[in-house]
Amino acid sequence: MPCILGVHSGGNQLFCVAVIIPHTIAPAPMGSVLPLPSVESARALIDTGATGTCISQRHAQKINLQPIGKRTVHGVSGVAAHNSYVFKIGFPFDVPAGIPLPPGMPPMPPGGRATQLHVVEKIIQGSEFKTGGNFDILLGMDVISIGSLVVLGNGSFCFSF
Amino acid sequence: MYTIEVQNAARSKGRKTTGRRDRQRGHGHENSDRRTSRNLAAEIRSNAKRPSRGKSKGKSVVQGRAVGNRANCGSGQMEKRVSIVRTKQEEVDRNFAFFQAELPQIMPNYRGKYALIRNEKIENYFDTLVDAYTAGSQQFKDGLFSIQQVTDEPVDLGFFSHAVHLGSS
Repeated sequence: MPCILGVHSGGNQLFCVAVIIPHTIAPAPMGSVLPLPSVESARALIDTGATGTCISQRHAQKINLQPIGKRTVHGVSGVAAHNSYVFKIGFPFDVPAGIPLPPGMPPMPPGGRATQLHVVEKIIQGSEFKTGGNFDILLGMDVISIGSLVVLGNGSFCFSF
Repeated sequence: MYTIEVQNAARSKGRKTTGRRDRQRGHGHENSDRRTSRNLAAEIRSNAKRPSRGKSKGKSVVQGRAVGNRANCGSGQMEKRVSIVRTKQEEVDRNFAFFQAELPQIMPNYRGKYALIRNEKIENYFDTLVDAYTAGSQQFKDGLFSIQQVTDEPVDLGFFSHAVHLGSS
């Protein structure tokens, strides 16, 4: 079970790194290798008060998501309609060096770095927001609820799924 | 949950690990593109009005996002792509306006279902988002359709909604 470990400095916000994967990309078989340009990682705010996962407008444009509809979003200025997108979400992990590669995989060159992407099966219809913060994904309860989120008193948190 | 291995083609290889607890270390992977967020429609209009520059240093819109200095993106190709994006956004906007008007009538019978809409007409209702998306993709190869859930409950952004002004699109 993968587990995201992080710190909540000051105890106010939880951030992690996530990847938005357009639903139009077919699920890859386990262990398959994808070129890096097909995924763009982004900083994500873990927000247990949000009902749904959202993506910033700038990130949606950057990864070329096409709107599938609109949803009404309750924000600080009231209710407004925003584009919505269909996508999956994944969490990248650095693979520690020294672990033997599975059969059929080319050998890792010296100094090379491998990233493993854990993709959540659930398909998400996420709304767009215009971020004013330093993050591009808002992880809502539709994603958080698939796993376990533990906030520890020592200034760290763990999200396993 | 499934796993995809991502490999840096230039210098690294990917592999799968299972049955272990992995620590995420990718906090430095923030986006390098920190352009000012702008309304997509306004951006497209702006680019459409801009005189064609061919291989100039002006920004080009490629399927909804601006990229700089794309030497292989001629003005004709750019305009075609802008047209595609605009059409998709317009379809979504028109369908949403239509859906909002229809919502009071369809709410009693279809609450919670997903409406597949094209050309301001509800084609069908589905129980799940995936079913609606699959049907739309199979029926309309041009991708010009939208999906609206039959609900009057807005998405609540929790903490974020109280911290940052959302604007509107």
